[in-house]
Amino acid sequence: MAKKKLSTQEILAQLRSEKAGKSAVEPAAEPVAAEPVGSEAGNGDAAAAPPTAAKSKPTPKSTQDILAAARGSAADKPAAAQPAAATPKSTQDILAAARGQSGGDPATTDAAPPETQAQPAATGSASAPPSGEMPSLQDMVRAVRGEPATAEPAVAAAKPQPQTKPKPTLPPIPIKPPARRGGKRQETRRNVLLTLLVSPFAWAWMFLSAATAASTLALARFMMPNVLVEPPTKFKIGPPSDYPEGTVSTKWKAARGVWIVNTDQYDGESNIVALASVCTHLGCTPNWLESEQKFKCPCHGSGFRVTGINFEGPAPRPLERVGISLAEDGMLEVDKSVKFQEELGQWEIPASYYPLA
Amino acid sequence: MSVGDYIRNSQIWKSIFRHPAPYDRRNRIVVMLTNFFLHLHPVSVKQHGIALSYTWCMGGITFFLFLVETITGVLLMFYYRPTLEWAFNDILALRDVTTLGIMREIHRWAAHAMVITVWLHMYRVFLTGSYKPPREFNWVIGVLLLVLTLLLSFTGYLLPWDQLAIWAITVGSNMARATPFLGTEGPGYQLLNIGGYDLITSASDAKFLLLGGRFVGENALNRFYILHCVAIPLVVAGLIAVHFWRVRKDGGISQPL
Repeated sequence: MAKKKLSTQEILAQLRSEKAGKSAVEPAAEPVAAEPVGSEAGNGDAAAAPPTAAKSKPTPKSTQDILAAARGSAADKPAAAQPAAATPKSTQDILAAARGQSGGDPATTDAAPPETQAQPAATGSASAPPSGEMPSLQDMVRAVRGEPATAEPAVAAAKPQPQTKPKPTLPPIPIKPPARRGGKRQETRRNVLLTLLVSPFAWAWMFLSAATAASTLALARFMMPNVLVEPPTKFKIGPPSDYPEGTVSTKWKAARGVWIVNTDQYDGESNIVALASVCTHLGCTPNWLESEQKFKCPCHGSGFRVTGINFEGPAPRPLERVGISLAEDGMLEVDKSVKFQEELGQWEIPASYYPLA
Repeated sequence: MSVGDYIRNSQIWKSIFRHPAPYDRRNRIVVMLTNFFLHLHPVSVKQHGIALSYTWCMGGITFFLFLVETITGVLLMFYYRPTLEWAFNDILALRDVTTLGIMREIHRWAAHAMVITVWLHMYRVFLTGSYKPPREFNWVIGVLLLVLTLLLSFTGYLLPWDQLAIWAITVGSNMARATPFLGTEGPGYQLLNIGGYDLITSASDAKFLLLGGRFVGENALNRFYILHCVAIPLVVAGLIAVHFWRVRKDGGISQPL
């Protein structure tokens, strides 16, 4: 039963060729049978047919004749322009019927659709086209159904269509109300802030931001070590008698980074001070030059007097003092965690020097 | 059937190389687009896109040097220990006794060259106006890459642990002390004070964060080693991918708009 499905073009061409060849095209077998399968195929083809139908050349017969013949109204009515047949059908039925009938003609089914375009012209003109141009498939359908058509008033009146279901009447589409945001709460200008604060998205974003901020702070704290393997900042350096008048001791420079200087050249009074061995220019370690009695930085040539005052080179300020005091056991104790800068007047602070006599 | 054909028709081969070698334009496109490594590059490039007088090829050379640095860097890591005890000696050993230890010199030279080519690339992009809309963001990414390249140079400089390295990093990190609010010698750090407890001290300021200590010591060496070999290269690799992608999406290399 399932023959090869033909496109609409093939069916029409086939019918035209059979018409021209004067063979009876009566599809007497299936005037009423509406094969659902064929209908479905007919739908697709019907959709494709109008553009191609519009492109096809004028045929010798009007399509109404063809459809009428296909409908098989009166068995041997040749070229009768009587589309008003006894049993009206939809296009699907007609095509299905034609397919069922022409399924017995395998030879003609091999005609490709483009070739069917040429066939109408090739098969010549049995009779002149009544209207001069082939109506579109829509017109044909309309004509069959009896609706007012564009060019063919001779179409039959409306007929009942038993196969097609009546089109259901749809209720009118209601007017869509404007969309509401935020679910329960309607956002107005007055309560937009509240909406932002209360909605779930707001809560989610707040938590995400808080978590990100907390993670960043935790990361910064993580990067600061709690345990340092460094020399101690407070250390004892021996009794004051270890540091004679007018000397600079480099004993603690390598291990602790201080010079112990016993001099009276700053303010005329004899003091023991601890100078940090860090050049105030960019942080290199100067050297004490005993013969020239000055601190000299090898990096860029900054020079400091024995008191620590800068006098040459790019150093902008004197060397820094660190805390020095006498511990209970009579030893001098240096505290590097406090520093005293001369240019700020901090060398007057007692913790910055140990007075002698 | 030849051995080659037999192999190329085997299931294992087909599962690795899903498509045959390109034999026509369509297949060439398919091979490019379905390859993880190749699809970052466009299938075809305009001829003037590879004109040396247009691009100087500085971006490509910079990327090539980055690959050289990565490969030599990874190989150097097998013979270098970032500790006070071993760092300097390992560098000497790479120079004197390690096979192909010349990679240490290559690494150093390529680093200098990469900084130069990065600047030249930036200069070329400026001269050709390739920063104008819609390419502004790519310029920003480029600046970030420039800063990260310089940071790679800075962190890598410390690793040989010689006098040049220690003092250079000392001078550089001393500048961190002058950071506003976060440095003990900068302005405003006294404001970060909670209930009389100083938040910013010599053991908790920006310089301390950078060095992991109060001066350039073993902590600083370890930190710079990790930054130089892992952290910054990861970020750079990601930004390079974005940088290349933006070139394509913003209209292609050397394309007029």
